[in-house]
Amino acid sequence: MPEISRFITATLMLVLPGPLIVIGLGMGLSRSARWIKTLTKGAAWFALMGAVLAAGTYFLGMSDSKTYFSARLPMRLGQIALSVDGNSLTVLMLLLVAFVGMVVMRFSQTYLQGDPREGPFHRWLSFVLGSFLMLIASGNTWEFLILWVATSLGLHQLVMFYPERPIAVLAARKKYLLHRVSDLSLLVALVLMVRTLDTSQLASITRTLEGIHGLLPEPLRIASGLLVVSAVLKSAQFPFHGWLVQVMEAPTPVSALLHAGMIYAGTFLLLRMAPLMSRVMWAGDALLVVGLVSIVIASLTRATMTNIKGSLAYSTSAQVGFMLMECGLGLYSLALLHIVSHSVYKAHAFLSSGSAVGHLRTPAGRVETPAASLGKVIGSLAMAITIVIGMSILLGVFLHQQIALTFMGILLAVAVAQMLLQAFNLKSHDGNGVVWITLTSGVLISTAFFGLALLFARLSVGVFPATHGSAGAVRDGLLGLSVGVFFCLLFGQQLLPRISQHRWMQAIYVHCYNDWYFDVLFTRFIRRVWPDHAEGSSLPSPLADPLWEEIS
Amino acid sequence: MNAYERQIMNRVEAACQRIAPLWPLKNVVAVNPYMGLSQESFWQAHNTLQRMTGKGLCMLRDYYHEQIARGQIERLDLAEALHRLGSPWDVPTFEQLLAHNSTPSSKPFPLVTDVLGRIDGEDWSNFVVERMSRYCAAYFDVGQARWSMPWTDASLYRGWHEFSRFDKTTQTMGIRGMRQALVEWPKSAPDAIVWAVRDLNVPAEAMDEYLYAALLSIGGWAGWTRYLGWQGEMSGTHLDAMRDLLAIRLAWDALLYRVCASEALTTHWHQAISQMVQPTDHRDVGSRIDVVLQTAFEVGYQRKLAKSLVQGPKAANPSERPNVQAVFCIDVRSEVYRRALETVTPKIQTLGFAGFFGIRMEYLPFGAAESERHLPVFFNPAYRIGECLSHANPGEINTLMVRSRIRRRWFKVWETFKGSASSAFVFVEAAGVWSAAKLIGDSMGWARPMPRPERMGLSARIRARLGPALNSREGCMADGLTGIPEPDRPSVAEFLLRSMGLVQDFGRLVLFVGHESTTSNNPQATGLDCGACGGHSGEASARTAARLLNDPLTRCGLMSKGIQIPTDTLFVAGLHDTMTDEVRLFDMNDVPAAHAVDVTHLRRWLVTAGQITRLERAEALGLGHVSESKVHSAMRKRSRDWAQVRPEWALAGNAAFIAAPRDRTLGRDLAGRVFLHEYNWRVDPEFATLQLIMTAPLMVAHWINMQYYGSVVDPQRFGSGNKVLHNVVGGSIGVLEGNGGDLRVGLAWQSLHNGSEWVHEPMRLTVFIEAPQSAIEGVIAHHRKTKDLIDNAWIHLFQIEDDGSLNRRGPNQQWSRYDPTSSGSHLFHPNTKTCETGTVERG
Repeated sequence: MPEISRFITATLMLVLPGPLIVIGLGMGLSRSARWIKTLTKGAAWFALMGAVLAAGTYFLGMSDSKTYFSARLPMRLGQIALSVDGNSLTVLMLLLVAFVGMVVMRFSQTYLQGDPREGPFHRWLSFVLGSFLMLIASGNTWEFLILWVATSLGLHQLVMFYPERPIAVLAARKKYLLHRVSDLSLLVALVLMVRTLDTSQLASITRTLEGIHGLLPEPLRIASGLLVVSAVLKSAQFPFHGWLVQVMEAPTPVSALLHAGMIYAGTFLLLRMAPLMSRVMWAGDALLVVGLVSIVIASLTRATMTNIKGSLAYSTSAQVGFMLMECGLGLYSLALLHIVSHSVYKAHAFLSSGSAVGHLRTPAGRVETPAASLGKVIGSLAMAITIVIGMSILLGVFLHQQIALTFMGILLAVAVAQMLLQAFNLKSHDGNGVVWITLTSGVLISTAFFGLALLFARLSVGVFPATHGSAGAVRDGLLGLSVGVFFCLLFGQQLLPRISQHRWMQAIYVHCYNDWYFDVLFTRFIRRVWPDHAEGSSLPSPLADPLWEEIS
Repeated sequence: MNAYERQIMNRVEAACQRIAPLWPLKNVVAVNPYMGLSQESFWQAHNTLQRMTGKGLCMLRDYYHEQIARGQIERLDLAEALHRLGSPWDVPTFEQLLAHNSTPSSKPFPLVTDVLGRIDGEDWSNFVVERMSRYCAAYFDVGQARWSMPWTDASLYRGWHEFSRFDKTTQTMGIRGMRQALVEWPKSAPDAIVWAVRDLNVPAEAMDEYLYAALLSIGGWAGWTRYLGWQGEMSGTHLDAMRDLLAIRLAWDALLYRVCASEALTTHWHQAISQMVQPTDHRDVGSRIDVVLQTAFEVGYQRKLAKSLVQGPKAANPSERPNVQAVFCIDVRSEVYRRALETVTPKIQTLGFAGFFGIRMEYLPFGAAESERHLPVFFNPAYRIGECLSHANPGEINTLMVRSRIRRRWFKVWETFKGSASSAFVFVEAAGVWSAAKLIGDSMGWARPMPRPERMGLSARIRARLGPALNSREGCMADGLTGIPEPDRPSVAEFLLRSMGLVQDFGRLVLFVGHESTTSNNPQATGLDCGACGGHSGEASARTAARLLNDPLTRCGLMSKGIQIPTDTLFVAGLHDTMTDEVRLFDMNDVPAAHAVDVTHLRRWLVTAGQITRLERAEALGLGHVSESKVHSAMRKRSRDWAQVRPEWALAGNAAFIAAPRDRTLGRDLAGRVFLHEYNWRVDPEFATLQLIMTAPLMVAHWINMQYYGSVVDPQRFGSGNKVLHNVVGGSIGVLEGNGGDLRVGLAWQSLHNGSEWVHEPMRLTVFIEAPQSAIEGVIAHHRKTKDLIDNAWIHLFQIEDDGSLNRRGPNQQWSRYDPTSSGSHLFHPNTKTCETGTVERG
């Protein structure tokens, strides 16, 4: 292959966010909404086309990493460089974010028409998108860190888009504070890694790590802990998830972009650092625990939510928890699959949240009261397990070879059982129509699940380290606990109609609906460290009314 | 209950009556947010609101300055306004005062939480709204939450009491003793109210206002409870939800007062409330200037409208029989289309009538278990009409029903699979990625518009065969009786025809045009549909009316009632999509061969009229730059755009109501600002139709007018805020703005404002009725609500004489000649008569 074509992917990846960032930095541009809209549209298309081409050329094998500019740093901090890593993780993520970014951009062009700050909105959207794309492609630790901070600061501007709304300001500040702690952890972790491994290129970090056998040196183990902290704080995990819910004080496309992209920054970091993370067992255990706690609490809270955007936000918190759990278990390719699927799913759910009313306008049939029984539960579980095992054998997935995979198989069986149970409960005089549809869906879902898992495993060969068979007693215990939790969720859902009137269930309901009060405490803390809770904005909102301000 | 308590409960009842109901998103109906104040005069209400909320019924001063600068308010209008208000000022004096005065500001009526907030810096009022809103959302939820609150069977108040005993939020906020205080607090709402006003020492003079202020502070949910109460009243049951809501709000005040007790709080609270008792000085110049400006703004519009009525072209006497008579809804959007249709051909005559076409029905969509009310909200339905499948045998219907039931169940199973804690993660991993296709489809507009949700899950071929059936159980399998019984049909038809003044000279085709609006991803979509059909599409009503009048039995019966419909007259139903201005015709397969040519012509005319209408609307929709041939596709695209927050301007701009024969308004450009109701008093000997018009359609128009008024004048309280922050709550109850806060009422900013200016001009409805003065007075005398409306100046009433000249009804119930063409020079002199603002002067 000719010399130059080896770097086509890398060049595309470097160039594609360029226009977005330039627009984002061009302050004067935002004065004319029409101009900046045309420009951002062009830039977003450019980024998407670039990402598609980059993916194409990558899979044709033109995928070498490339460093374009570098400068040495003192104190053994390696070098800072403008550098691009082309691997299936970065290429896929670029494609995903460029695609969702494009959709969100198109949506905002109409959605925000006429807003007094329409111009700045598009400018900041451009900036966030551009810097996030660059962060994904980045192959140098210090470049990564700078873009990591820049994306967060840009997002801050979008979250604060209506600075006259006190809750918006509060949410932005919570996010701001957590993200700065996350930045600091990442900084320290990177310093430790670079100084220990003597390189600041992500690609060579992987290579150097491969050379170290046995227990990693102390600084690296500390670094992996700090990476966990940094990733978790970015991922809106319990009890620091309040801001994610309150971000709906910013326009819908901001939520869509956040839930479809920036919220995975933490998971992405873990995936990028997988060669290190996979070597430190307790870091994985910590991720598992954090993820599991968020899964349980956010899922329960979500069930009680009465507004659509709140429900979507809690669901994201739980889903990101699940991704962290997968990272902790070393199921990196599944985590990547989860990012991709959840990103497009949540972007669509947010952007179409206005259609929620439609479902309730459809003619309602007679109300049916489901009746669960132990027999049905056991029966459907048995059927689900049969389906899952059957499909896994057919597709050649060997669930028993790795305990983490067995775990995923159990989760799949629980989910399918959940669906079957519902169908059994709804059975009525119309025959078994629903049951048959559900059984077919169960098979299809298992097929899709294993198929996609295999596909992503295939795609990410060589990017993520292979996980090992057994992982110690602590891990096994945690996995057992997790399985127990999922079974409890399944049974709890079935039993809910019967137990919801119990005193303790009432208490749990109220506490869940109130989000276990941690956010109230955090709010009070923020108010104390950051006293004025409505920034005086010079830009009047169309809705702000001077009279109103005088009163409050 | 002792006398004191009973007295308090009466006052509670009165306070509750002052809140306007809020209809759910599944059928949004425009409501006058000030309906509870209609017993006060308009300017009294202005003062009341100013005192209660700090915001009266006028715009900010800048708005009026702008109108003066743009020539919308001329000196002439100021003079007329000063004259009407009986002000001692002349125009120069007024202008001098105006130059040196700014909008008066006033503080709203305080609650304990406001006072407490001022002391400790914590925003307790918003905290309480947040807590209550959260509780109410859970209590009233109709489909969002998967785990519903355990106390939905208890009363609203009792449930709150239980809920609060577990709730640790206040404690987490640093307030101790709430739980203990709550245990001692009464478990019944009336007791709680009595305890609260006793504990807080609310003076008797301030009681009404304190209760009203408490309700206003949680006005959105208060509106929702009022809606539930309204539904209850219509079906003869009484609901206490609103009283319970008030009890909760008062309990918050009283409990916080108790647990945060301090010398400062007691003193400040008593100071605050006693200040409110003292009579305020409404003779304040600023307030009076606002009154004059608002009146002048309305006078200016009236003058221009009246001028065009007086001076416009005289209608030629139609000599030959019209080919088509097209009856449209009175909705202001129809005015534009009717005008266009009339310019296309003189062979069409158009009429205006409320879009439910006089059929008081509830409609049972195909396969549904519950019916929807398709009629103005003041009425109870008389008939239940089922949506049925035409040309179908029972077997086919049964198959379809089973299929749709299975589909609905499967949909439910799938939704739970997507959302429940034990399966959501697997769902995302296995199926989430398909959303990419949905994202592309929606982003490009391919996947939309979806069929109206009422017909979701049925194929297009089946949808085309659905329609309302007059006979019971004909092609629908509904439980119970549906349709209109044969003996009733002639009288229903007679009512319908007489009310729209269509009793002779029938054309070959009579077209009933209902309306709906096709939009995407719009939670408030039903607000764009037909209000006269209770926030539903007008299709069912129009089709039912057409079927009724094509029924030979009906026609036969009508003959004995003196209405002879020629045998060659065919009634046809149509549906006007106000988004794209396309008109669809229904049941075209049933058209007899003899009418085929007429229908072909009609279709052509409708297409042309649609295009003319679109071109007229394009500019305001920001499509002014689009070439004529592309306007149609641009509007279609708009209806499919899931990001579109300004699909159409709906009734923005509405300002007048005219009940007269179309000849009076024919050929005038009324700019889509006028409700047009056909009325010819010569064929209404008993004035029964006049009475109907003045009690129902006029009331509907007034409600719409005031909804727009309130949403512009006080968007914080009576508008629903910014659409880009809308967050649907409770499944389909309403929207929150952003993360929480109170339930929002009224219209969103985007529905009223184009980004650079208000598209709606807030002005009271100007009403013109062509009927003898004595007849109009007769109706006013016998109908309390209409009388309140007119006597209290919530609308401006004009009468059209036979010769086309105009009379205005003054506030002292005197009619006086109104000449919009006079220069008005006589008005520039000060006068000292007292009239309309008597109330303002007296305070």
